[in-house]
Amino acid sequence: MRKYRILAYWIATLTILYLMIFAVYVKGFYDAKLYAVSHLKTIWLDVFPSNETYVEVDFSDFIKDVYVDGSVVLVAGSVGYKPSPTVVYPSALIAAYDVDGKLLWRHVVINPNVSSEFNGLEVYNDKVYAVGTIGGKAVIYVYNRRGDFIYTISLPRADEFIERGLEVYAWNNSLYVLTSRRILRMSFSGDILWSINLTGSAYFHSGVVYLVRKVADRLILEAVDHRGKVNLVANISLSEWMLSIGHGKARVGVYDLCIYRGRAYILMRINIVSECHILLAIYDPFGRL
Amino acid sequence: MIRSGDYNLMEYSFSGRDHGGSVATANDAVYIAGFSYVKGWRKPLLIKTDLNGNLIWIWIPNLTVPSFSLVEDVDVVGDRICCWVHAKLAGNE
Repeated sequence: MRKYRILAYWIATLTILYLMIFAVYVKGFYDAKLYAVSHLKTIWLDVFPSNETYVEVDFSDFIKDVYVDGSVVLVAGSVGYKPSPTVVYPSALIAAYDVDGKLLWRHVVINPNVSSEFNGLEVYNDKVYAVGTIGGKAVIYVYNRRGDFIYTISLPRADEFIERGLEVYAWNNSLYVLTSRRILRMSFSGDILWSINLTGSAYFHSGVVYLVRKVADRLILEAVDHRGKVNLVANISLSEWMLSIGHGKARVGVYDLCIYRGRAYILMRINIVSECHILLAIYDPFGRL
Repeated sequence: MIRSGDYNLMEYSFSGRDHGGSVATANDAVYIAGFSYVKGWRKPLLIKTDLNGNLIWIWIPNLTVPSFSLVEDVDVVGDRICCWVHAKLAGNE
């Protein structure tokens, strides 16, 4: 009887082992499928927060911008500062790494009363500009390349800037700040040179802010020059575009925009019945396509 | 209507539930970051195309656990692609 018990034990053990090997094989098969489309590999990875003093505050927060400046990688976002086991202050984070992933410097701006975060980064004339909301106020923190804090630039009407991300760019000795509602051109001392309202997605390129938005059936592409003047680039019928690719009744949404070699690359979403596809519109205003 | 230019419209569908988030260009290539659904789980997605939108490759990071994630944004510097991925170990749609 004992012999059968031992036999049953080994059969059960071997069955479990077999199932485990099979599971690993199946998983490996799917992994291989994924790897088959990937030629990329992770070079380095840093996990922060990694201790009890700092914790992640929210899935939707944390890293908001990454800026690669020569051999330095800068990141901006938010992190939870935890002074005691029951208290967490959502705080603004800025950090710099070298290209091998070694941490060069890191600052956490803590405000006990109101959530804080950095949203955007720019490097210009050996200074790092981090724009965000600190203690409820929209502000740009200025550091040198070694990470030493230099000064802050306050942005007006802080309530306008909290809803969504802020972006900052420097060009021709001035700063451009893009918010969810406005474009500001500012001096480095914080004077506002001009501001205009904006809707839709914006893209900054060499002193020009390109705007794309959907208005009813039309896609509007505009360019704001360095004086703040808005120029219409294109006014396109989306239904015509959709018909041209056989989706006459599709719904379309606009995500993002970038400009490259004189063309506009507009990232959109197309809904066809229950399916959702990615749509890239490449628009060449000079008709060279 | 101003319509002096010309255009290409490129449609990408991998799982039938594919979403873009941001687009970047560098080194004569276009990078689209977003997410897709693989066996019901939301996965980060990165697409590389040529300047006319022709697909070169797609990348779906192989996370070892079911995850809710997306490629938030992408930038390209030299021969390195910097993308930052949000991931959370919970929930599917």
